[in-house]
Amino acid sequence: MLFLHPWLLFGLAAISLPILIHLVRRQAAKPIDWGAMRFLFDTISVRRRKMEWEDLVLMAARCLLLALLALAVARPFLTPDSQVPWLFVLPAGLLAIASLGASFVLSNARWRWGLRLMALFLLMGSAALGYWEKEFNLRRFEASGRRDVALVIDASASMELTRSGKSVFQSAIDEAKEIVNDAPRGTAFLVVLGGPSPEAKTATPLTHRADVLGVLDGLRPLGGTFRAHEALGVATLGLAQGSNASKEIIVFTDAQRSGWRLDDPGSWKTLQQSWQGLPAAPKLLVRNFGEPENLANVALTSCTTSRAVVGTDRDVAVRVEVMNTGRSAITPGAVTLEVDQKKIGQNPVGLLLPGQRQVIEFRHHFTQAGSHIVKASMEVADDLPVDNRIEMVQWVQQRLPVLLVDGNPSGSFFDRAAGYMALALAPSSATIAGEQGEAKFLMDPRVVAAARLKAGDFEEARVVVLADVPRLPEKLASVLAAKVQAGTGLIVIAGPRAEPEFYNAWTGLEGAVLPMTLGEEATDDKGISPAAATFVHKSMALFAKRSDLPDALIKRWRKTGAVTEHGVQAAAFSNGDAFLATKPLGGGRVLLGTCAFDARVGNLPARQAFVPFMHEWIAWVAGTGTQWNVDSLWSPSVTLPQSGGGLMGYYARSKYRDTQELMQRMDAAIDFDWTTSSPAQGVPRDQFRVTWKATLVPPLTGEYLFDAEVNDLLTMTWPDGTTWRWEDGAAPVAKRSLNAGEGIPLEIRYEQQWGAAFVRLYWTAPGGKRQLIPRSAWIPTLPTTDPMRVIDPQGLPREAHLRAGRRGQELQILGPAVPGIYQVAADERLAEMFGVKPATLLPVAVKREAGESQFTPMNEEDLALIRAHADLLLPGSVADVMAVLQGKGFGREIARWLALGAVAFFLLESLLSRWVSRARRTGEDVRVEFGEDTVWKGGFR
Amino acid sequence: MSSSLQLPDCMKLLPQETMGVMKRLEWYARKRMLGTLSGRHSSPDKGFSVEFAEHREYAPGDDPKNLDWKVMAKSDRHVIKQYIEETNLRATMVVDVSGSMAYTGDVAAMIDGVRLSKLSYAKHLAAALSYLYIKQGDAVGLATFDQTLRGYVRAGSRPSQVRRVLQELHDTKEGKDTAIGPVLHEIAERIPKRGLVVLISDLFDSPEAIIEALHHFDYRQHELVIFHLLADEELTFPFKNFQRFRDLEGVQEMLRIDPQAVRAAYLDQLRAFIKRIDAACGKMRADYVPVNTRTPLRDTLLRYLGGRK
Repeated sequence: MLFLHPWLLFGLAAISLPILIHLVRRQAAKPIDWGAMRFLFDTISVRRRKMEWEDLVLMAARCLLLALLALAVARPFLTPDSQVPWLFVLPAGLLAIASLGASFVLSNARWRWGLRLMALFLLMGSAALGYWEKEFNLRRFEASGRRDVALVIDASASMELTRSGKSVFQSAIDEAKEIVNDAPRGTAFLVVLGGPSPEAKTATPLTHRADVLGVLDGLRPLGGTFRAHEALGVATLGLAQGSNASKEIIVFTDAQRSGWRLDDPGSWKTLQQSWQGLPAAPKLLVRNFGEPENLANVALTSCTTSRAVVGTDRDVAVRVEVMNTGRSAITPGAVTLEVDQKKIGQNPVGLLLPGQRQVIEFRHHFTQAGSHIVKASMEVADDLPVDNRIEMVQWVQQRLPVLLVDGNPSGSFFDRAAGYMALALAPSSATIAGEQGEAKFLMDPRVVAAARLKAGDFEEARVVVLADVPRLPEKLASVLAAKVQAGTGLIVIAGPRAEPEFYNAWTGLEGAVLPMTLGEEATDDKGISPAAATFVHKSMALFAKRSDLPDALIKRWRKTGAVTEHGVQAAAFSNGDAFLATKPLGGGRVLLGTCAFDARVGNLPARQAFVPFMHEWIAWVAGTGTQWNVDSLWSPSVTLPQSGGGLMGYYARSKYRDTQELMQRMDAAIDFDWTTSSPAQGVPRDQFRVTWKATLVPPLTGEYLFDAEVNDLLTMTWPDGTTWRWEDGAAPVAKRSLNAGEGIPLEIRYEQQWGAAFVRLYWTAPGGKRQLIPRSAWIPTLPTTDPMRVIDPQGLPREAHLRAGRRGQELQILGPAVPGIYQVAADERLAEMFGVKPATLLPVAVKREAGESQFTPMNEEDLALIRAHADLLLPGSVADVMAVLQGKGFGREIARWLALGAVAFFLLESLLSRWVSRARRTGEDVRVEFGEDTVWKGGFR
Repeated sequence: MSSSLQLPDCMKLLPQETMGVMKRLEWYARKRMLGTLSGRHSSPDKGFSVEFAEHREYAPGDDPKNLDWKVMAKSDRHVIKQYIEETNLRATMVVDVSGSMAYTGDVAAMIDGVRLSKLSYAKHLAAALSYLYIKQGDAVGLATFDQTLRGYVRAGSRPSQVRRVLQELHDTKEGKDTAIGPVLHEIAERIPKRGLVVLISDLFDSPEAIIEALHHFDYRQHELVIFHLLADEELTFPFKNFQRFRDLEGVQEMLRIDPQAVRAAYLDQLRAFIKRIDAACGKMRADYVPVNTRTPLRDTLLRYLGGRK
């Protein structure tokens, strides 16, 4: 407990007043010689102790009353996180004072001196503790020494809330400017603008006030969330550049919970460790502007389409969710939906209670393929207008090529394994005839007999359906597995012809292909039906309530075994056997059906729900395309899974000393057989060299065996310099231990002199078979190119790159991920990937985080976590912050409470003394009847 | 008259005002001073074998059968025949001279401009009564005491007895603490039968001891009049500020108290004490006369001697 005016503590001498008065009173006038002592003694002996207690309490009350007043006048305050428990010091001090006063009332000398001793001890103790706290606090707030101060301003969307006419952001800026102006000389300031990707607006801490003020004036709110933890990291880096010894970080925020990484104590530990690198651990002041009291806000929280794959063939429902994130009920205006800036619908919204959500549905038919910007907006006057809009990018497919591999191609159309399915996808007579589906259908099924399947058939397909295919040749199986891992969808119909031995052994790079192992066939003459109660998977949601799927009767199906890794059952039959199961495999999805979808085994295809069922499942396994709506992470980045991995090949001539580079291209794997022709246009047939640069990412930990078949020469160079050579004819096997997930940049060079040219690079993963190193194991090392131009939601220019990522390439837009639409001018590579012309504007949407509209403040546990890692202070106003900067310390003033206590004791003393005097009957007019007092009247006779 | 003569100091105990009152009350005093004897047998022995002593003016209240009809017939005067026994009243003044009697206070009655302490008051009272008894031909004796018998004057009826009693009273200084009980016992033994005992004291002793001694008197058929002397301050305890109370008898230690805190309780105690004495006296038919030393002596005498029973 400290005092604002410590010298006023001399007022405590006022306690001596009641004591002095008491002493003076006791100094009686001359003693009285009294005869009736026996009565006095009788009176006293009974009541002495009681009277002493009463006097003691009264004296204590008077002393405490004065003590509390004196303390209150000195303006005490409690510093936050103080080491000394004031709860102990204050009562101890007061007890000391009370004892001191009381000691003058007692008659027993031993008690008197005992109390005085205790009082002295307690007083000295509390004074010592108070002094120690002052010293400790002084050190903590360090009046001496210059400081580096990082001003971190929360620029998230919630800071745009207006309160009493001014946005919170503006209030924060104003307070920051006030601090800069009033700070002691020599203070250096660093400004960090906190948004989705916090950045320092001043390179190093600046001491020139005008510069700092200029920077502060130029700040604008960004929107999005406030990545507080990252902002602290940026502030720390900046502070490390400063030259002063004391460091402080002042965060101006409305302290929403998200963004502080409060569920990740490890990250705070890391931050704490980084602070240990500074000369002194910085103080963390969080200037919390608090949550708004009566937030009235409605927000559009999500905008989604009812189907993952949207085509041009029919309507799709666009669902916009409206939520009341405030504290009062609001009826918002209508929600308007625009597609590509054309209004397509407007629906009203009813009254929303706090916390209530409502989904507004629009139906729209996208007539053009490509990317479209869907924007929903709402007319409402609420506190936070920025969340009354929501945008999303919808990619519309012209066609979805589906490859149906028919395992039972003979016979009539309706006996074929893939017949019904193809018809379901493109219901027209053209399909039955085996021709190309008409253009009006999104799904473009192509049926190929299993025996005539080639690897090239997989090229274009987005979804591959193996309809009752007995088995695939090994090469096709591994190619297909690799494609699935790269994003193609796979549906396996395990009909009567399917061979469980093949399917159960079929593995891709990341595990078994099938979600469940296959077992024997089972039959039931009466037939079993799918049970609607088991349709719990997201993809079966449409059929769970009202569909006639449960009416289907299946007479032959396959039993299944255990679920493989990541596999999940999607539906079951009424007898408990699995009906459908699914699993993700790398970038793609696999669906397993345990009965044939044709007329041989039952009447499933005759159900009305069969067509939508097929569509749903095709859409489900195909729905892993590029996500153009990304989360608001550090910078917006779009994963392009279909681009897959691969190696960047640099093709060059190698004729004697001529090593001119001719072209570059991305190659999926090192698996070429050029025979005698040239590998690519512009490259000679002979005497060329290909240098592949990529990062190898092993999926498993263990020892890998590498070998190659090559003509003429292949070398593989590791980062530590080790080089392996394979030459025509020789096929050594090289071994190396690798760790899963650890990428190793490699350079692989192929030389061709004359004659035949082929090269294939194999590896054997631990516990696996010898196979070509698949595409998904490579992350190409892309050549640097010019960045693409991007326009961000605020209309400012940005840049974007294509970067190689784990799961394929990434389109990365530089700068913070502010929610909204970014227009990217596609360069050649990007344009090629998506089949558009170069320089087409491809939109990317950064989703708004719903948390910004809901104010979830930090709770005590969160503060405790922060305190455990940082010297946290929570100033309540600019004055408090200034107090910290000036080394005075701040805290909660308790003068008011002490004054209240004084009043309480005053009342207590009045009541007590009245009670005491009543008990002692002082003032009572007691008379003793003793004869007649009056003179005998009446005269004499 | 007496101003030209040099009166002995002890005569101061019978000041002018007292004398004046007593003169007036002589007639009325008679019956009163007989104490409880009046109304009873006017002589202990029946019959007429007692010797005729003298005549006395008839005072209202006397027994008519003692009227001397002869004198009445002759001189139209109402005269009582007095017999020796009848007139042979022995009154003993028993005066408490213990330390507690030294208390004066600030409102006590004054004689010749001097406030009377309880002791002085007692002395004056005893002097007045002695004078009256001697004047009426009764015998008067004196006993002074504190914790023991201090002074004793044998009863005598000659006029010079007054002087002797006054002298003894005058010479007595205040003593130590009070122990009434044993003293009264002793006095009860010393006094022959049918005596009248006038006890003038503040009775500051344990009530049990006093009452026991009173019983002794009662047993020996002494008549008893108790003048209970108390100072006004003792009765009202008017002190306001902290006081230090010193024991006049030097027994108790000094007390430093807040008088207002103890006033009510003290007065309760006092009241209880007085009631007890009063009740005990009532049972034994001892005459209990409460005297507040604020009351001027003449008023006390008037009230006691002139008032009806």
